[in-house]
Amino acid sequence: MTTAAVKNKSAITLKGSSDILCDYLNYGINSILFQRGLYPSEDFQATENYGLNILMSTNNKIKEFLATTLGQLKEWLIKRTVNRVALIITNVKTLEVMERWDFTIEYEGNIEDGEAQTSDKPLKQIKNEIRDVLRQIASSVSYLPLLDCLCSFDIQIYTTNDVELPEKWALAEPANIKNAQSVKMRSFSTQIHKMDTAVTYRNED
Amino acid sequence: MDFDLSKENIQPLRRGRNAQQLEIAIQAQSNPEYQVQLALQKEHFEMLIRTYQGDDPLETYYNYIMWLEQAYPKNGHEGNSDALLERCLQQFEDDPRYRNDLRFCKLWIKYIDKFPNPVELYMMMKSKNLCTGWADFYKAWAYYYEAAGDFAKANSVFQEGKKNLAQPYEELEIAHKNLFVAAGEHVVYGPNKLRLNERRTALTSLTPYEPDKTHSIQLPTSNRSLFVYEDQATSLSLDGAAPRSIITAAKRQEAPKENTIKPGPWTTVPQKKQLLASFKSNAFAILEDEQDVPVGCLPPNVPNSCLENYSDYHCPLFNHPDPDRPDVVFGYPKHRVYAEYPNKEYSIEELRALRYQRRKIEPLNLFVDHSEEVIVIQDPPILQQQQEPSAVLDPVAFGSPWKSTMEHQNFLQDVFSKSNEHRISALPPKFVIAEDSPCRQDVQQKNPFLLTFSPQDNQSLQQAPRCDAFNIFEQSDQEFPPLAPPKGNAMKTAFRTLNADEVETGSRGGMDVATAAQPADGARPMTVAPFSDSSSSSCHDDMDDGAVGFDESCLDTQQFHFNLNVMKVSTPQNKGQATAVVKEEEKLMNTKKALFSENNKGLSTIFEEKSGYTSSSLSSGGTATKSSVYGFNQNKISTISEEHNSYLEQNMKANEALRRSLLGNLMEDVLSPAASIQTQPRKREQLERVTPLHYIPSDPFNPQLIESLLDRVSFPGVHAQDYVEIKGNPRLVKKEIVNIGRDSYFVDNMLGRGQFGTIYKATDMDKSCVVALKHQKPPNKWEYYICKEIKARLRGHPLSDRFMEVSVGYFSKQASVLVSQFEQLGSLLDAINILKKNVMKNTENLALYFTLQMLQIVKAMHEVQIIHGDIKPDNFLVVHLSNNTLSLKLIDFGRSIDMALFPTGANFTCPITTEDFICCEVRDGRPWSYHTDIFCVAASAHVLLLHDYMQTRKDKTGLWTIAMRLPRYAKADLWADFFAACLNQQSGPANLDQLEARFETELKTQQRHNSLQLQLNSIINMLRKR
Repeated sequence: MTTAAVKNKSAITLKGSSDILCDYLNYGINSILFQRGLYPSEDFQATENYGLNILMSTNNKIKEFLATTLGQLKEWLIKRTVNRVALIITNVKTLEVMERWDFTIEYEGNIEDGEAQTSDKPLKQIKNEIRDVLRQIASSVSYLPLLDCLCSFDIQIYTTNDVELPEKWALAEPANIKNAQSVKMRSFSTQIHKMDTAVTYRNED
Repeated sequence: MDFDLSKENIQPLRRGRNAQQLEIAIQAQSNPEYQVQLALQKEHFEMLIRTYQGDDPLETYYNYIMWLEQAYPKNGHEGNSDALLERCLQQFEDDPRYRNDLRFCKLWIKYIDKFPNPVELYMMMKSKNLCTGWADFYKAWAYYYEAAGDFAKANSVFQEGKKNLAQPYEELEIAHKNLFVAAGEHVVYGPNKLRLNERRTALTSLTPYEPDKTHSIQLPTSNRSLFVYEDQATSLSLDGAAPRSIITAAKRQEAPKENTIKPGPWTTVPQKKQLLASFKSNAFAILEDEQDVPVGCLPPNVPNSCLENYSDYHCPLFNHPDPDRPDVVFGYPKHRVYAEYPNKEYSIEELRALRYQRRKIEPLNLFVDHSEEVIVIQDPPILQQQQEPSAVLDPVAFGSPWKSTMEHQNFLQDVFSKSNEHRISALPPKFVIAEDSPCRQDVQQKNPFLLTFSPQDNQSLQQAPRCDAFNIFEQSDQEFPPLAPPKGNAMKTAFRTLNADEVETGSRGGMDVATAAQPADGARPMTVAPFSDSSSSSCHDDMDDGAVGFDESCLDTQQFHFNLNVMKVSTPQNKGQATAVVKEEEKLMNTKKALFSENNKGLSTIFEEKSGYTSSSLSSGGTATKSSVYGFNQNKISTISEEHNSYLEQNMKANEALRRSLLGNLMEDVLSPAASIQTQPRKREQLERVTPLHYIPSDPFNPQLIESLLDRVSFPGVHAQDYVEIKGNPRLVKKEIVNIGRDSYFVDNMLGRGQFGTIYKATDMDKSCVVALKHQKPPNKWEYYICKEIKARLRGHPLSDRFMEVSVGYFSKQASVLVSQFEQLGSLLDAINILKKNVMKNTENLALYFTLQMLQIVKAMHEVQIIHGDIKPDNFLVVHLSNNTLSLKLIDFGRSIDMALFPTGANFTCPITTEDFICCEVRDGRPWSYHTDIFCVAASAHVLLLHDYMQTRKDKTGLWTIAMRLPRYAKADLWADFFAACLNQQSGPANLDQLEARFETELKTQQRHNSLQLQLNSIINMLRKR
């Protein structure tokens, strides 16, 4: 059974799928931080992934922050307790929410399989899908409003209620934007997780 | 939403973009439906602005500008928002209502952003106290300082804002604090930070990322310009004298940037200018009717008339006495001068006389008036005909600018005394001999009697009158002594010296004839009597007129211009001979002549009397003779024209072609009005054929001929239904709604541009169907006529839909737009190119198929007596029929010939100039008619079969063959016969029926029939994908 063998060889496990998602979030968030000009461009370095040049922050604090957050997220993804990850961009002075990037997660396939769940979607195809989304993120600068104030970012993870809160983590109010307008990007799927990306921003006037 | 493919085409906005609107806008770039939507919305906004009545006019502007920004994301010229913004700001700049309006403030910021030196403009705004109450204003202003690293100045801007309590105050406060942070960072990180600043600058001022590369007027490169201000005193003075208008100041800054023409030599310019100036002064002088100025002012070396080439000079007066132009105010009562415009034209004197006579209520004069009316109706044809035998008399009409005979005489004397001298010196000595006193008197006498003509005449003629008076004279001398035999040589030399100015020579030629004809006239003796009492009494004038046998009195300017056109560069030579012909005829028809001249006298007297000079007795005599004259002259005309032809053929073979063209033109010009009058009633009755011309012009494409033919069929006549008169020249702009007449079209794109016009694809907004618009400048009524004629003549014919259908034609004096159906599959040339590119095996089937189609179409067209004249693959459109086959549709009838308007068996000699489509008849110098179309079908078939244009050569037997070898697979005998037949039409046009039948049978063979449908399908698909 050559086909089965091939299937098994390229199969993606639940853990692998979570890895893919976290990788995507890592690159996606870094890309957003760069594109939206939250940090000086010198702090970024180009890395190639998904067939794209993606600028990743070299700032240790940011790297550390993302590593811990995404590490925690991965655990929750395996447990299937996460619904949504939100990147919040706020005005440092007024604490007003300027922009929100929503990464919504849906669980697909045979959820009953538990940790043994696998997907036989080719990795290359998934990567292509991710590449398309990252491209869309890059092109979002063309319509997003200019952030002409000092801004910072935060990451909110929406989970089910039974999740144990790790140390240094806190509950937060959902970030709402007044007079909002939302643009949905493409979605990609590993056939275990499906991720939707959307940006919500203030619609002036 | 997929913006990632077009993100480079989206200009970032400070306030962001509305994603939905952006999507529409992006889609509109490729989808015509969205385009229409956008265009409609845009029109709506513009309408709102135009019709706004309320007390907040800025609102509509603001909404429109905001919408434009969203709808045209490229922020380029398409939306034209810059101009709108400027207009808006200019309008409300001094409006007290908006002095402190937030929207106004935002618009200003937007506007100033576009300039390279925004700081200056902000200062101006401040000093004008505009928008000083808004935090946005100070933030934007301070930003430019901050971006340049001048934090001190930025700080003072914020302080100024705080002093003015700009709202919202908190925002200003935050921005101010941010400034300190930025300043601190700047100090700490130093030059490293500069790049961030640059980046932020680029972002904030919304420029692309490489400001240097994409630098343009609209996109500010704030860095560069701002550094200029760095060196100023650190203490910032925010106040200055308020400018009157910021917009003007801003524009002034922009202006020098446009003037980037590099300095270069301009040695050629002054000379040109001088030339122009001299022309101008001449033209103006005549325009103003100042008779003595032009003569005196002429420098001695002024050429006889001018150096311009008038060979294709079209006199506007021929059909349109004076085109209606919005920018010209006519200095004469045009509506009265041209009250009966196609037939007659009144001089100012005549009009005055009419008024004068109306005032005098006397029975006698009433009678006179009555006779006048009769003349008005019937005269023109007669007079024009009468003119003809004595060839062109018009030169006298050059005298037109003078309102009274006295003036005219004065002028002439001037001419003879002054300008003669240098003229003569410029001419070959032969002409200096011309001192024949009687003749001079003649001229002098003749001219004065001339009635005045409307001044606009002169406009077009410019300096002709002066030269004329003299030249006429000298030439008539030449002609006089020999009388009958034309002096060819002498004439020729004369013309060589004068070569360029045809206008003048033309008129001179005419005069020759006139004077030469005189002695032959039986009426000649009569001239003497009036001459003797040569006081310029009114009565004398009349007599003179009649005796001389001229019709000048009723000569209208139209007529005159006509003749000017006729006399082309080369023709004068013939003219000598032509006059001889006329003279011969005159001898032959002496009796008729006599009658003729007598009639003339009568007529002219009547006419004269209109201007109030003559006694009533004369006039009554005139009316008496008139009616009989009319009928007589008509007969005579036809005989003369025949005789012309026969005479030419028999006796003057050497110059046959030239002469024919001359005579043809002469005849047609003089004849056509008469003929059209004859035919008009008939036409109205049966709406059918117009009587053909009595002669064959050599050049069927001659614009004058076309005009006169259109007159003949009283265009638009029966086709008036789809004929729409419009004003001006419709401006067809891509991606915009264009209103033509009462209809509106959304112009999609340009399909092609030819020598004669441009074709656009457009959507008819009312019927919402896709059409092709053919925009031509000057208007092409002929094509409309031909298209409609074909449709009418082929009504009910199975092939009638194979010809371009003009659904509507819009015509103005400047341009025309023909609306026809849009064919998606493109032209036969496109199809051939696809075949060529795809290297389809054995395209013979298709070649056979399309050739058969072409033969059928051309046959049908020839049956209704129309020659297309410009058949080539580009002029066949490919149409997809409902039964999944293709047919062809013939388009572009701009070079067509309606043979129904010419005598049967007419042939032409004028060469055709479409490269590779010049028929063998033209190459051999044989006359042609339908041959050309058949030849061109063969040439097109050649392209179809061999994918290359046809080259021909003559074989040993003197027959034409194609140079290329037929492909091996081709049905050699069929094609060889086809080309042989189409290329060698020495014995009349090829028999299309035969060829058609052979192609049909060939196509019906089983093997071909099967593969044909397959090939048709594949080519349909390929054309679709095109």
